Amino acid sequence: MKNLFRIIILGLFLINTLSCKKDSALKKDVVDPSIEIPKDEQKYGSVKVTFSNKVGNEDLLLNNGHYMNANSDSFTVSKFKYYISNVVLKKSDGTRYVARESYHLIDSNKGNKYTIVLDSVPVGNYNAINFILGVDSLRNTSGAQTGALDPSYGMFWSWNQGYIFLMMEGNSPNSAAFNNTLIFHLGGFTQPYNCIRKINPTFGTSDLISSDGKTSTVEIKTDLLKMFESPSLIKFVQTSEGMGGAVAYTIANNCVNMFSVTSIQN
Amino acid sequence: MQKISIYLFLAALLQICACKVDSKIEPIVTEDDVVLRWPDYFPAPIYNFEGNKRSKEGFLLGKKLFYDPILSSDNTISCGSCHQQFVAFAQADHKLSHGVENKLGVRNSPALFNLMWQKEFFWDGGSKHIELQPIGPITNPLEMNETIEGVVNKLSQNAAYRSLFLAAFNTDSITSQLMLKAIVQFMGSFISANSRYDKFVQDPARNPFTETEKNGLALFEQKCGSCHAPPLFTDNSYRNNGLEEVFIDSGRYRITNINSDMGKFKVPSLRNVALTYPYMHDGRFETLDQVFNHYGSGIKQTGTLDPLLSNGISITSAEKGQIIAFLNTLTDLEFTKDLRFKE
Repeated sequence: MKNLFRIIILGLFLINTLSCKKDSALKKDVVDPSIEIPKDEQKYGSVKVTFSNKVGNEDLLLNNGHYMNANSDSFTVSKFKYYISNVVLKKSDGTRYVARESYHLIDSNKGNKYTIVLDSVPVGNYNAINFILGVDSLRNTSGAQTGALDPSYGMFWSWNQGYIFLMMEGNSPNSAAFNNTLIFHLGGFTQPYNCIRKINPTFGTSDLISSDGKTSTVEIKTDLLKMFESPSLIKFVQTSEGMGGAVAYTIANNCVNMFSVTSIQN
Repeated sequence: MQKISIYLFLAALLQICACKVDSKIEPIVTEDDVVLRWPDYFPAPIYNFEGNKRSKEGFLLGKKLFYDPILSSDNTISCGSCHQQFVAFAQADHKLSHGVENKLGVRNSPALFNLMWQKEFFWDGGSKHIELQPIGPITNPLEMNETIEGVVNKLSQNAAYRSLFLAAFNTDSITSQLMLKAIVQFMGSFISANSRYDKFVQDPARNPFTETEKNGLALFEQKCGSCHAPPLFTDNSYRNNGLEEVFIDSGRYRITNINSDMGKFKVPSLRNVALTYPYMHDGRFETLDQVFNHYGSGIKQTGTLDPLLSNGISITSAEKGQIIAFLNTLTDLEFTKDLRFKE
């Protein structure tokens, strides 16, 4: 019997080791300079990716800013926060820089600007950026997390567990809800209402250039108005609340258009 | 010479006394006590404590947290309030459990054991990971009604906890992640695999079943075993077992928003079932007899009713007695009396 236990435990260790290997294989497209170029010859720059929370062209002003959606419903905003994760830069030859442990909670209550610093970006011209609005499904089911994913930030559903990817709350006279509230909590990582969205804002004509020892900047505008615009026009009189499910799914589709690159500084 | 013997005798007595006093303060937990053991006929566990290395210190910290009402908003309710060891960590004689300010929850407290083999938690599977599961009851307004931030703040202000976290995790900077991992080091250690059934499976010659129990086992396999599949006595699926014509609680649908999940709940393990009454997600049945009556003649026909139950389960009263005799062999008193888990 004792031997059997030993075998089971050994087996477990083996399974463990194997699954660990799988894990690292997932990250194989991280640009690993040691494979392509001798380490001492590889040169790196830094890239700052800056998000600015806007409503149309104005800076978002919590509580006191009065705004109008595409349906001409007026509204105010009391909360606006969202997760950006898995930031990737791409070169035109297809090689990619994949940021490690890339999870960021952007919370308007802590300021409308948020900067993600990407260290050790191999020098070269990058013509695209992409990231996830939300948290990948793997991290939603990988146990207790820390850092930006600490559940104490209130961006975690405790009963249908998983992260809230984007939280927008406010008021609108058009809302039929109690106290005319607007409550949109986008989350859920399983079908049919998976709210994870991959965002690929275009760079336009200019490349982002990572130069040896220098810092370049990509500025991204997050336009809250786009949540309610297209492809599905949201009318607050009909839709003033959504916590996961079909409403969140529809708004998540709109959120794909929420991010645009406003400038690149090399 | 005789004097020396007397001194030795006295010294030994003293030691015994000292030990007794010691064990009153803290039930003995050694490094060996936290080694997990389970029978070879159990499947591979789903949770392997990967990234949460078990230790005596982590186990004891988890135990303290599990039994400490500090996890609730008004410091009145602990995990152990609704999960009692003597009934396999279900709550004795409570259809539903009381949270803070005597608020009544909406579902029956599930028994806690063999959690390492469970992929999802809660009656509706709303929790997808054992380390995240405690967030549910801690923050539910009808249960402990606390915030994760609030718990971490309270623990951080408590010198005793800071030193326990330091011992367990090498840091006294308390985070929700470490708190959850510690709770799981304790709760994840609940393994129930020493019932008479287990002893029978391991060595039927030395631990025989009676004829009645043997017949009960055969009947159970035939009539119950497809959902309550051995050795865990659940297949971890969600099924509508015909309790309602109109669903008061939408069950699994609440999590998936898929119509075909309406009114489905997780198939519970039947290990320790004789202890874990009342039964069903809302604790509606007091006795196993009532449960059998339901499956025999009480099934309500709805669109999502489990196909295996569309004609009910026909069981004669003689068969019922035999199956109940078998179910009693699933009671694991070594688990319910295990001093390592005692409050």
